[in-house]
This record gives sequence, structure tokens and C-alpha cells, in this order.
Amino acid sequence: MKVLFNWLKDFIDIEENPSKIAENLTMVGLEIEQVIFTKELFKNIVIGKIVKVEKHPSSDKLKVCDVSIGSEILKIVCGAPNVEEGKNAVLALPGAELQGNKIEKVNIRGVESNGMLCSEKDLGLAIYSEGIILSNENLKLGKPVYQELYRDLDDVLLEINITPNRGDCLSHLGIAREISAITGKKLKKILSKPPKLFQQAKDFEIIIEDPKLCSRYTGKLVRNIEIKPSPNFIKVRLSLCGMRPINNIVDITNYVMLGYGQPLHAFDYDLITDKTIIVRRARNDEKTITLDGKERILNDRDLVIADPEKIIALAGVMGGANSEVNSNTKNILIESAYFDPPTIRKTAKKLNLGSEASYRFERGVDIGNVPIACEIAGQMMEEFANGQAICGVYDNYPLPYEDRIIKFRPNRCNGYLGTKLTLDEMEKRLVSLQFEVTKKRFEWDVKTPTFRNDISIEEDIFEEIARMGFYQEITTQLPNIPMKSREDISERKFERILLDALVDFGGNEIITYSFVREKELEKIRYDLTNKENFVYIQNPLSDDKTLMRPTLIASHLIVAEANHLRMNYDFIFFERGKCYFKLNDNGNEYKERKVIGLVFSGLLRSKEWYGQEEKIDFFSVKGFLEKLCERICKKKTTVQKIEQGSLPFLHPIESAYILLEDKKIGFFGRIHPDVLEKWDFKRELFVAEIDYNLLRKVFEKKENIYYSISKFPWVDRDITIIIDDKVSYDEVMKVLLKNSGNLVKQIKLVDLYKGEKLGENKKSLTFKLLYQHKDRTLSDDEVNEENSRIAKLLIEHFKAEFPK
Amino acid sequence: MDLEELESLRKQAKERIEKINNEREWIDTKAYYLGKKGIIPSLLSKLPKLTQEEKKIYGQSVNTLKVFIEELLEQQLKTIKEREIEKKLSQTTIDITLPGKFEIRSGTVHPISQVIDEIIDIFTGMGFEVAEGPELESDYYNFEALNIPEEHPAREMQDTFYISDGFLLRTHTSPVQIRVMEKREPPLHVICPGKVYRRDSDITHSPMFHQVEGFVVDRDIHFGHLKGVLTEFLRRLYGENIGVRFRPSYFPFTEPSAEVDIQCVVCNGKGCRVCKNSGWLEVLGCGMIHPYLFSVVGYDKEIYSGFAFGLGVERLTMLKYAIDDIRLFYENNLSFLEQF
Repeated sequence: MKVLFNWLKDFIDIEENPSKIAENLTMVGLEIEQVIFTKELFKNIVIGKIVKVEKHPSSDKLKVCDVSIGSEILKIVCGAPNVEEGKNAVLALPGAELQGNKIEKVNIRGVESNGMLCSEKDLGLAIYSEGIILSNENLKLGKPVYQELYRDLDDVLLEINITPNRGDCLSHLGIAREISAITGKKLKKILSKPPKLFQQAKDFEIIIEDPKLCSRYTGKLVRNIEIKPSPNFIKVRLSLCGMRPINNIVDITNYVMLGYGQPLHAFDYDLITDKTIIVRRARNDEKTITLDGKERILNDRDLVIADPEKIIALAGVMGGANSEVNSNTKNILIESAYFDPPTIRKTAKKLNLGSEASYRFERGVDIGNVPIACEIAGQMMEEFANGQAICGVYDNYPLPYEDRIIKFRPNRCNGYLGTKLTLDEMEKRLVSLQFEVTKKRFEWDVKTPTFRNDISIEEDIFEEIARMGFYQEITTQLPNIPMKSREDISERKFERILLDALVDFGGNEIITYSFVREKELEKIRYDLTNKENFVYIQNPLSDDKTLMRPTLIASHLIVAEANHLRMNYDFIFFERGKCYFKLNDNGNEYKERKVIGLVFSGLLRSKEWYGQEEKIDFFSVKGFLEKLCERICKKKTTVQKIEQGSLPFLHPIESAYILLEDKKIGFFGRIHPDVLEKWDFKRELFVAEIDYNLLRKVFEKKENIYYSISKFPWVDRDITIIIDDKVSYDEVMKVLLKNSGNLVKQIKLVDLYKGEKLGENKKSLTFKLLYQHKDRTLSDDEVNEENSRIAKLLIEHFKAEFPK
Repeated sequence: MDLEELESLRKQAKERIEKINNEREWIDTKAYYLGKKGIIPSLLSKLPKLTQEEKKIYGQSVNTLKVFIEELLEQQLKTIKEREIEKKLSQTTIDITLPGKFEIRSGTVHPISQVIDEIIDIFTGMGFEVAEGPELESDYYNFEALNIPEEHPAREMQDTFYISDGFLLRTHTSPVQIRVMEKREPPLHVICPGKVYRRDSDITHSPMFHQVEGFVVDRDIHFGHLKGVLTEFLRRLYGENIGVRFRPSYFPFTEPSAEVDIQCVVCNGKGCRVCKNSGWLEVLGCGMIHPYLFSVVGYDKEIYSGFAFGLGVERLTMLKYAIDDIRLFYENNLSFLEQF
């Protein structure tokens, strides 16, 4: 909302300077976003006299003018048809800015032009100009335009962020009321006397079909008006406040709206059939063409203004083309009404037709002000459009406003705010805001003014009292807070341990959007057959089908690809994010599954002065995950082969499920070659996903019971066997673990060899076994005996051989 | 006679032992003097032929010589060893300025997570607990229960992503307030961090961002407590001397409502581009919990009162690290991530 300081002064005397007022308004809840000294916008635009006009040497349409700005005479090229010797004009000099266009010295077809002669359109004071501004008045040459011809351009513009509850502040009057409450200065009288209200009019009739949707409708007839441009002060003020001046009638309705907060509509009286206005719901599929020339299809939730034949306006939203004020208009019917805010909002939103008018109706206008705005507009049309206003205002008011009286307990107010305000101070503040206070001992009756439809409960009154003290007298104090629950602490602990581990292992945390485009899931060959489980966004930002992601993989490949493009090749990224699923067709039950997603790219170790580079491969990813689970849960993981095709984005061989306590907690592996083809990766990629809550469950079960440490030395022995290649490490390990007895403390694979020497489909495995007794030193014989027992057992079990 | 011989032996031994350069020589020398067939035993073998008187004097002298030689040898061995170590050390050289090779990658925590953690730490330090709620939320919890009915203009403040009739991506973390209050009785001191979504995308708006909601409900909670807790929070986050200002604002779910500004961290309140010359930066919204919410969850507003606040993590993070484009957080460029 833009307000002009000088315009405010029409409503109230202000002694403070604009920045003080701005600060105070901010502190009562009307946040000032910007204070603009408007003359700054019209710098280098001055009065000049056209002393000579010549034809442009190489153009028929252009003229070359000598323009005097007092101190010197400048050559200006001008294309306006009305340029005339001896007249005063408005000259924009180099450095000026007109509607965002910078004026510079330019060469126009061989003639240098030292500026530009301006039209009203150039200055933003008209939507259309036939030519440049010319004046016969006696003006001081070289003076800024805001000092001579358009003095209203020298003002201070306040840009105010009005919260949606304060519809009453969407006008200069509304802001003036707040200033009055702050400074204590009384508001000036708007009208010398209130308008006469008539329940019946001679020249027209207004029928309200549904008073709930339109509880008050007033009209005023102005005859024999003359359509012409508005006086300068109206044009300038509207323009500075962001509205385009059009003609005197339209401008006056806008001027009254910005001044008094009441949106008005001006109908061409002669285009209203039977001079009868009907405020009614639209019929389903009823059509009308609005002012902007577009056809609108309505239904019975839309409120319209109609005559017996046709719709002439969408109530509170936009006028109809068929009753629009035009150059032939002679007689005007002014509409000033109160429409039901939700109804206006629905229609405006549905038709995507937000306007300054609908914006105000949605927030509720002052029902008490409806006829006054109507009267003021009529008076202005008499003055600025030479019309004859018919005395008084026709007022159809089927659902009169009921006073709102709120019970208010001063004691509770102080208790709620933490203040020690006196009763007198509270009363003073309420009265300054035009509340009517009836004081009783413990509970006051507070009557709200008609323009404050945001005040409905006692706490609202508390806020009014508090904000008038700028919230400053409320003393800061800390409440007593009891200790928190254990459950909460455990969750935080897991979060920390997990995050620390991931970072310690070299992961860089990323955060990606929770939504993914369907085509991105296609790019990872994600199974899209079970679409009913997906959570689609009905109104995504782009046209692409977008859903809440069922996996983090696609998002992570996007990040990996982007990093590869930026030449970041080596990374381990992780994210703690959610996957989203729909649980039933009704779309009222959803599941959010938290997972840890990882993507590995490029090198595990780069080439260093002391060693070679090492690429990330299947086993480094596996190692990362094993160590992660071990660190967090103190438990070993196992793996399981992924059934063909169930995770189609993963490589069929280099991939696996990862299990903790025999339960699948996630998967990992290389990206499938078919997926790679659809992306632009520069390095090999591996991904992993682990279920957050499954990991957490194991973490919480973690029991760390101390075992006593043997004081006696350990010894180690190797076992090497040559075995069929199909036998997995895991199988051998299981047999070893099962049969290794009490003395073996640790078993580790220390060598794996395949080669021609061994023969086809054979491999050699070397395990190192660590022996230790808890109560005594083991003898060599004893260890050798045990080791060969275990070795023999392996040989027999797997039909393996010892190396020759 | 013999005693003189001993004296010359002593001199000779001293000279010889002090010349020893390595362990080999040392062993030979030791054997020469102290070995079975060495000089000292051969001297001692003369003892039986001497008189009692002679035995006493001679024996003593030989013994002194023996101890002298032994000590000298010990001393020399030490010296040799020291020399050897010194020699070895002088032969090995390393360039201590070479890059180290302890092979550990160290990762980073996303700046948004870091700030969330910091916020959680501050509030849990004050005794708040942490609660979470769903991101796929019903219209009821996201709007209705928070006093934002269907046609309320405040819905425009939050352009919403819908996922079905009546379900949406939560536009703020405030619904968690209702969910917690529904389940539990006061006193409550809770913060709710999480992701939220709005249909908006430019350099200061992201369709997904993070909020931390917080609220307190108890007997006799007043606006002063709200000011106290948030002032304390902002001081812990931005430092003891940060200027804090509360100014009236509007949220449908609080009454009275306030916006909280801190003194601009860029210009220290003097006025700059970041604070639009106001000297203040808006960092959070808050207010006393609207009685409508209490009626929804069945609390008696005559017994309990409370306050709530919500803060945008991205904004705080951008201020903290002077980041000027919100999209950087979600591009996840390694060169960006590694800075935190």
C-alpha cells in the first residue's frame, strides 16, 4: 500500500517529519518498507521554452527545437505533432529517468538531441497522450517540473506492508486514523455534514436478492458530466500511488478508493436497462464480458450486478464492458457497496482477477463509510466533471451493521501482556483508536468502530493496547521450564552419532528438494507401474508431472551430474531425507519414510606424493557402509543378493542389500549401465540408501557389555586353502566361525589369489587366525594342533586342497 | 716393581679404551683386559706366590685397576652408542614440509543442518524438547485448526502445493503445534524443526525450505515470557550485544502477534543494502497463541496461556554466512559445501 504524505495531511495535521511517522507506524504494526522522496524520481526534468522549431534535415516527421532552460538553449529533437514555438514544455535532460527509461544525449539521424520533450504519458500521468505537454502559463524556465507545473510531484511516498487483517488501513484515511491514535491529533472533518440518505430513488432502483452477500448498496446519480482528463493533482497522486490516470470519472472513483478505502464503480447510467440494478448470484454457466474484453463463465457462487437483461459487473471485482464509462457517457450512476468478503475472494481467485477493488472488499470495507464515499465521489464529479449530482445518496441497507461489544478485563490484560498499565492509560489508548469504552469495575464493555472488523475477541483488544505502546513496556522475563523427557534425548543422540560418523568418513551432507519430476524417475528406470502409491503434486511449479520422491536416488544423480559438469568429480554425498508414499486411493493416508541416501563418485584417494590414486569401487562402498553400521550399532552387517530387476537402477552384479541382524536395512551398488547412458556423468557412480528408523532401532538395542581382557599373549597362524571359485567368502567364513572353538579370537582374510597356476575356477584364500587363552599362555604345540584341526576341517568341508 | 707396572698398565688402558671406535673393538678390548686369559686375570694369577703383606697391597691395587677398566669400558660403550646414533641421525634427512599422509577424508555438514542444530542446541539448552510432524499434512492441521479458514486472505500469504483434496505439503511447521497440544497436556515447551513448502521460487524464495516452530503453554505465560525467551535465543545465536526489537504484526494463529527484528548484522544498524537502510532485519514471527487454537485442542484459555514462534532457517543462515542466493543451498555444489 502506497500513501503520500501530503495526501495524509488532507486528513490530519502532521507535525512530525516523514521518517518519524514511518518509524512510529512500523512500531504500531504498519511496517514501512520504503520511504521515497518522490521528487527524486523526477530529477533533471525541467521547464523549458520552445523558442524555435525547424524541420529535421533527414526526416519528415521529426522536428529540431531550440529549447531555452533559462541559462542556455538546447537542441532537442522531437517527434510530437503538437510541438509549437513560444510555448513552455517539460524537458527531460540527460540523467533523467522516465518510467524506467534513462534519458541520454543521443544522435537522432545526424542531429544531436540534448534531452526529450515529455508528454504526460512519459511522466506516467496518462495512459495515452496525443502530444507533448504544452503550457502558456508564466513559468520559470529551468525550474524542476515538481516546482512549477506539477507541484504535487514533490511529496513523500510511504510504502506500507499492510497485514491481511487490517483492511481498514488500505486508504489514506485509514493511515491517518492510525497516526491520529499515535500523535493524539484529531482527524479533520471529511464532509461538512453527512449526506442525506434515501430509501427510495426517483431515477433508478436497486434490488438486493441476497442480503448476506451484499448487506449495503448505495448509489448516486450524476447527470451531464463531461469526460475529460483529471486535474493535475488527481493525476499525480494516482500515478505516484501506482494507479494509471484514465479520465476524470474513473480517476475520481480510484481517488476516493485510495483516499477513503471504499472501492466504487461508475456505471454509464444510460446503458442500464430499466434503470434497475439487481445484485444477485450468477446463474450456473452464465457468461459475461468484463472490462478487459474477456469472456467469463460464472456460477451461482459468484455475485454479480445486473440489470433486468444482462450482467453489468462482477460485484467488487470488475465492471462489465457493456456498461463501461466511455467518451459518449453523459450520466453516471455511482455504486458504493459492502460485499461479502469470502464471496469476492472466491470469485477473484477463481477468475484470477485480483484488483485494487477486490483486494479491499476481500479484507472488508467500512460499512459505515459506504454512503459517505458515494457522496464524496458525487461531489468531486460535480467539481471536476461539471456534472450535476442528484442530492443525497440512495441507500439500500437490508442487513444493518450490529454493534460489536467485547468484554474486556483490564486485569487479565496486564496479566496476559506482562505489563502494569493503569486503567486510565488503557482507556486512553482505546479511545484514541475510536473504541467506545464503558467502564465497569472488573469488566469493561468495549465497542469496536465499524471499520475495525478484525477485532472480535478480548485478546484482540489486548493487542490494540500493547501495540500503542510499541510493545516496549512489556518487560522481558524467562519462564520456568521443567526438565525434558528421555525419549527426546535418545533421538537427538542417534542424530548426532549418525551425522558425526557420516562426516568423519568423508561424507559431505547435501539437501535436495523433496519432489522429483516423473521424467527424472524414468531416467533412473524407476518402476512407475505402481503409480497409485506415489504422491503427485496437483499444482507443481513447472508443467512437468511432479511427485514427492519415492527414492532419493534420482535427486542424488541430479546433484552428481551437476557437480561433474562443474568439474567436481570426487565426492561422497549423503542426505538424511524422506521418501513419500500414498497408502490408499482416497489420498488421505500417507507414509513418510526417512532414509539416508548416499552417492559415491570418482576417487576414494587421489594420487599423492607417497602413493597411487584409488578409485571408489563396490568394496569401498561396502566398507563405508559396514564401518558406518559398526560404529553406530557395534554390529556386523551382512549382504544379500538383489533379486533380478527389483531395483532396476542398480548394476545387476555389483549391487546388494545390506542387512543388520538379518534384516534388510538398505541397498547399495553401482549404477546400472542403462541408466548411465541417460545421464552425463564423467566418473563412475555408486549409490546407497539405508532406512533411518531401522538403523535407529538397532542402535537403540545396542548393548555394550564389557568383557574382561586377557592378560596373556596371543599368537597367530595362517591357513591357506585352494577352493572352488563358486564358494563365497561368506560360506567359508561361516564354517570357520562355527568350528573355530574358544581359542580363536579373530579371523581375517588376508589374501585372495586367482591364477593359472591354480587351475580353472579355483581360488586360493589365506586366513589369519588369532589365538589367545584368557587364563594362560598358549604353547606352540597346542596352537599348531588347533590350527591344523581347523584347516583340515575346511579342506574336508569344501573338498578343498592345501597349496602344493 | 709390580706396582709400577700396574700404574703404566692403567695409563695404557686409559689410552687404549678411549680410542675405541666401535662395538667390535670394544669387545676385543674388554676380552684383552678382563677376559679369562686377559691381563687382569693374569695379574691376579700371580697372587698365590706373594706374601701375606704383599698380597694385601698388590691384590687391592689390581682390584682398583680392574674397577677402573670396567668403568672406563662402560663409559666408552655409552659414548660409542651415542656416536652411532648421532651418525645415523646425521645420515637420515626428511623434508618436514611435505604434505602429511594420514589418510582420512573429512566431510562437512550442510550449512542449513548446522544452523538447525545450533537452534536446537540453544532451545534444548533452555529446556525445550524437540517434536516432529508430517510434511504431507491435512488442510485441517495446516490451516483450519490454525484459525485460517478456507476463504481467509491469509491463505494468500502462503501459496500452497496440494496433493489431494484436503491434503497438502505443509506450508509451515505450525501444524506440529496443534498435533502436540492435541496429544498432551501443558506444561509444554517444544520446538519443531522441519521442511516446509510454498509455491514460490526466486533468489530469496525456495519451494522447499526449513522452519523451526516453537511454543510454550503453561499457566500464567505472558507476552513478557515470549520476549524473554526469544531475546535470549537471539543473543545466544548472534551474540550478547545484538539489538532486538519486537513490533506488532499479524498471524491468524497468534494474538497479539509480533515480528522480531535484529539489528542488521551487516552494518550494525547503520543502514545498508541488506537491511534496506532500516538498520533492522526481520528474523522471526511470533505471538501469544490464539485462543481459537486452545478451543480446537480443548485447553481452557482461562487456565492456560502460551506463546509460539516460527523462524526461517534459510534466512538466518543467509544472514550468518552472507549468502545472497537461496538456491545455492539446494544446488549442492561441492565447492559450496566444502566451505562450511
